[in-house]
Amino acid sequence: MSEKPLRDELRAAFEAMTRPAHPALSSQIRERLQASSPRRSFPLRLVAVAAIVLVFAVTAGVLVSDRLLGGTGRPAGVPTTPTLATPAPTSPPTAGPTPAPSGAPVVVTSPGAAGFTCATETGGGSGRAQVVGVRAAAQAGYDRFVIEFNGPVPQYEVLSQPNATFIQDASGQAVQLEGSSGVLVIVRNSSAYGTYAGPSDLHPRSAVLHEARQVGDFEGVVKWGLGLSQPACHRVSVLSGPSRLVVDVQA
Amino acid sequence: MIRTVSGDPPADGLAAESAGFETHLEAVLDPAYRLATVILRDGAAAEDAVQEAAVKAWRKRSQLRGGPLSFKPWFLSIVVNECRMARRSRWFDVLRMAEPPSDLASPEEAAVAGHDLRTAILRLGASDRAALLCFFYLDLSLEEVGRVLGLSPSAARSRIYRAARRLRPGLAIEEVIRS
Repeated sequence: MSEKPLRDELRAAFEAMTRPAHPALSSQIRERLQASSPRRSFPLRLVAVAAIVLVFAVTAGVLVSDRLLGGTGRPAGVPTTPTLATPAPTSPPTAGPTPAPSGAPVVVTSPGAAGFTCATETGGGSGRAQVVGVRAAAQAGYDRFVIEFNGPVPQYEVLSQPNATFIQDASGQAVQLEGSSGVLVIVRNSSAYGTYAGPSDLHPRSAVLHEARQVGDFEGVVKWGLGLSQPACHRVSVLSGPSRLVVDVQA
Repeated sequence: MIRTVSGDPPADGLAAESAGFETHLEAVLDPAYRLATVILRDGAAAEDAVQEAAVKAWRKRSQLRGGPLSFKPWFLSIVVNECRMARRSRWFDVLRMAEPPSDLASPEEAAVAGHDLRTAILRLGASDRAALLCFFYLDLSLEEVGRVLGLSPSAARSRIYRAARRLRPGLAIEEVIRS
């Protein structure tokens, strides 16, 4: 069979299988664009600049306080905001799709730090890695949420928020999770598509962490929203063997 | 909630930019809707996906590279991502399961030649269907098909070839894709 008949056959088949876009679609999109477009460019930019300045100030303050307290040097590629070593985990907290190797996990967060923070935490390396597992479970004194990767933990950001409403990427639709408060976990240079086939909505039924739902996997950014029963601070750890981003929520 | 803040232009230039964007968008709505229909196999879901993709594209317009000629594959790639998100949602699977098997053709159309081919196309995976539509129906180049599907040109070529062979076993790659 030559290419032309195949092309012609496929063209005819697709022509029969699909319809032209309805004229109303164009007007609906125009209305949505007009509704969502220009109004608040300056305030949003101002808010973004203020947020960056705030993060910078907090980071600088932490670095200064570390130095004043005689803290040890921080290894490259680890979080730059206050993070802490987790209490020596020996295995993933719940059964996950990828079993952990037998070797003891290596904690690579900043040494000596302890406690929870309500500030935004950032860190991770500059490389790319795919999500291969997600778990959530209750621990003594805290609830734990874990994202496992097939490589070193990429750049991440963990933010507290005063509600359990998140914005779904890329639709922009609001998603209400169980609970009244929330934590947003953003991982850049990553994706879960094709590497993580587990549930995208977890209900650990633990004391504070009531729900964890994937609210984004788009253009290399993976987002998970955590629905909390009450406002709670968090702490972030990066573990290796296997590579994991661990978010503990204070119970 | 952290949201990406695109670089909005000054208000006086925004109307012109919006009009230009809508002009480009208008030209690709039809292929975008057909692509979404082939992936989702649901006309209403396809309309939703194209609408969301349009809003997303407007917000991300500063990321468009390569001038007006790049608009079509760029926008179609956003449509494909929207469709993937829709397919991944739990409600979509429930809704799909509730629908009877269909090839989207009317009974009259089912009677004409090509019904077997349409049935075979619908048995392919969504990415394979999208690759075939982009290459054979939308006449995109291999580079553009790759950009739409998030693949390299060579991977797009392999995807198209494999999908075509599932429809017509025994085809040589030269018969499918002639450079």
